[in-house]
Amino acid sequence: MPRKRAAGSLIAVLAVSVVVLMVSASVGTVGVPVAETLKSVAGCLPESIRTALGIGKADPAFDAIIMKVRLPRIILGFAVGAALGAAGACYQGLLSNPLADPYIIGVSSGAALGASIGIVLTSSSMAALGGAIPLFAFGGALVSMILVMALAQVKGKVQSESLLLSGVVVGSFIWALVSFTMLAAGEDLPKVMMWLMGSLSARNWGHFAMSAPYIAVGIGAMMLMSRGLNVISMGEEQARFMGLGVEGFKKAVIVACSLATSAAVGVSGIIGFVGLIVPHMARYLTGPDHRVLIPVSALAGGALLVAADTVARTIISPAELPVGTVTALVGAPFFFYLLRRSRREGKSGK
Amino acid sequence: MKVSMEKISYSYGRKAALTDVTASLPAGSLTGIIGPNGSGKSTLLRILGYVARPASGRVTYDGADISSMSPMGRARLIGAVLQDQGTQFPFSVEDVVEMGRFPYNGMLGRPGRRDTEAIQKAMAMAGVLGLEGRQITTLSSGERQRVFIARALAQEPKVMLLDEPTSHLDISYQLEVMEILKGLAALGTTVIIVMHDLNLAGLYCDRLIALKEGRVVSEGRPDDVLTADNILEIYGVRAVVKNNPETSRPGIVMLTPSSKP
Repeated sequence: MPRKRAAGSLIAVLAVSVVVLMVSASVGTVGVPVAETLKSVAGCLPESIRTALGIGKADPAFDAIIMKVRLPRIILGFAVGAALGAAGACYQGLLSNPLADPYIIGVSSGAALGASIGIVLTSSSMAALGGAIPLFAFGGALVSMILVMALAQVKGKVQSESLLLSGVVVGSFIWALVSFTMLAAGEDLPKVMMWLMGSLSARNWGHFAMSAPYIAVGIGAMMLMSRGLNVISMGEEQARFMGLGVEGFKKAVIVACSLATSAAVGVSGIIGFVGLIVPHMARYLTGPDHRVLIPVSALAGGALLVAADTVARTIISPAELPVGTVTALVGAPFFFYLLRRSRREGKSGK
Repeated sequence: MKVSMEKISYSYGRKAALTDVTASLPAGSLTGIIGPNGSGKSTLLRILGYVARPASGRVTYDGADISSMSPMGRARLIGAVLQDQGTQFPFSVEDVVEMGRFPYNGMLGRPGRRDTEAIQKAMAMAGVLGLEGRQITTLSSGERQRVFIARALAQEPKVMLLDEPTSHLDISYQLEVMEILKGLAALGTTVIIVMHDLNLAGLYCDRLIALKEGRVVSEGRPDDVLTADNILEIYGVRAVVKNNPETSRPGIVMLTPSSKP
C-alpha cells in the first residue's frame, strides 16, 4: 500500500546516513575538508575511473587520517548501529513488546562475561582488545543465547514470556559472574570498565572484517523473514492459522538477531539505547511493516551510532567519551519524548 | 467442504478438555458451537485448524486427514478469526488483509494480480472497502472485526473458523458480522463459529453443537438443540424457548434464578 511512504522513508534515511558519514569523517581533532574526504574515499576506485571523472589525488596526510583512522571506525560504527537497530526492530515485533531491545535475551551479559574473562586472561596490551577480545565476547554472547533459549523451551516451544524471564534470570546470573571477574581483574579493571561502557575507540579495519560478515548475514536473514514478522504480530495462534510455522520461525529470528548482535557487541562493547529507540523512530517514519521497517531501522541505527560516536570523540577532544554514555544521555530523554508523544496521539505500539 | 470430527479427545495435562467429540458438518453449513465457559469450545476450534493436535481421533476435510496437510496447505483451506489479537502495531487495513495471502506467496512473495483480486474480493465481502489506508488501531471494534474477517477471506478458505466474533460488538455490528458469515455460507463455505449468544445462534445457525465438560450434549438443528431442557442441562439456567413468529426461529428468554416458570 503506501509504497510511496516506504520508498520515501528509505531514501530519506539513506540520504541522512550518507551526510552523517561524510560529516563524521571530516570533523575531529584534525579538521578535514569534505572535498578531501571525498577524494580519499574515491581513492578506492580504480585509477582509470578517477581520471575519467576528473578526481585528483587526496592530500597524503588527510588520506592517512581518513582511511586509517576515521573511516574504519565510522564504517564499523555504522555496521554496529545497523545490527542493533535491525535486531531491536525484530525483537519488538517478535515479542510484541515495545520495550524489547537487542540485549533482551541476555546477549549483552554473555558478551560482557566473555570480554572480561578475555581481558583478564590476555591481560597484556591494549592491542589485545583488537585480537582476541571480540572473539571472547562473541563466544560469550552466543553461549548465553543458547542457554536462554534452552531454559525458555517447554516441550520444544519457546514461549515469549518465558523467553523474557529466562533472559532476565540468565542475565543477572551472568552479571554476577562479570562482577566476580572484575574483582579478579586487578589493574585490568579500567579496560573491563571501558569495554562495558561501549566504545568504538581505536578500532581498525580488522574489527570490521571480523564482525561485518555476521552482521550482514544476520540482517539479511532478518529481512528475508520480515513478512513472517508481520504475520506473527497478528498474534501467535492467529499466525499459525495463517500458515506460519511459528516455533521454527521464532527460533530462526532469535538466532539471526543474536548473531548480528553478538558480532556487534563483540567489537564495540555494550552500547545501549540504539536498539531500543531506533525501531520506534523508524516505525514513526515508515509504519510497522517489517519489510520496510528492518532496512530503515538498520540505516537509521547506523547513522545514529555514527553521529553519537562523532560527538563522543569530539566533544572533549583530544580526550574521548565512551559512545555508550552518549547514546544513553541522548537516548533516554528522547525515548521519553517519543513515549509522551505517542500517548498524546493515543496510538499503541509506537 | 465437508468437515468431519471423529472421536476427538484432548486434554490439558490430566484434565480432559474434550472427550470423544464426533460430528459431521456439510459443505456450506453455518454451525454454532455453544456451551458454558471452559466446555472446550475454543479448544475444539483450534483442533479443527490443527493449531492444537488432538490426543486421539481425527479431523477430515472432504475425507482428507488434516494432520497430513502442510501448514501452508491448511491455511489455504481454512481461514480463522480469533479473539482480540493483532492490534499491537498500527498496520494499515490493506496491509492486514494482504497478510491473508501469506499461505499463497510465502515469506518472499510479491503480491501479484491473483493476490490483488483475492484481496479486493475479500474486502468487498467483508464490507471494508474504503478503509484501506486507515490504521487498524484507530478503527472501532466492529470495523476491526470485519477487517480480520477480510484477512481470513483473503486466504480464500473453504472453511471459516471464528472464535466469538460478535463479543464486544453492539447489536447492529453483531448482526452485520452474522450477515457476512451467512452470505459466506450461502456461497458454499463451511462456517463454524464459537458463540455465547444463544438467540444469535438460533437466529443464524443451520446447526448447533452443544458442549458441556468437553462432551457433545446435543447436536443438530437449532430447534432441536435449543430446548428449555437442554439449556437447563448445559448451563444450569432455566429458560423459556418460544418459536419467534417473525423469524420462525427459536427465541430464548432467560429466567432469573428467583422467577418461576
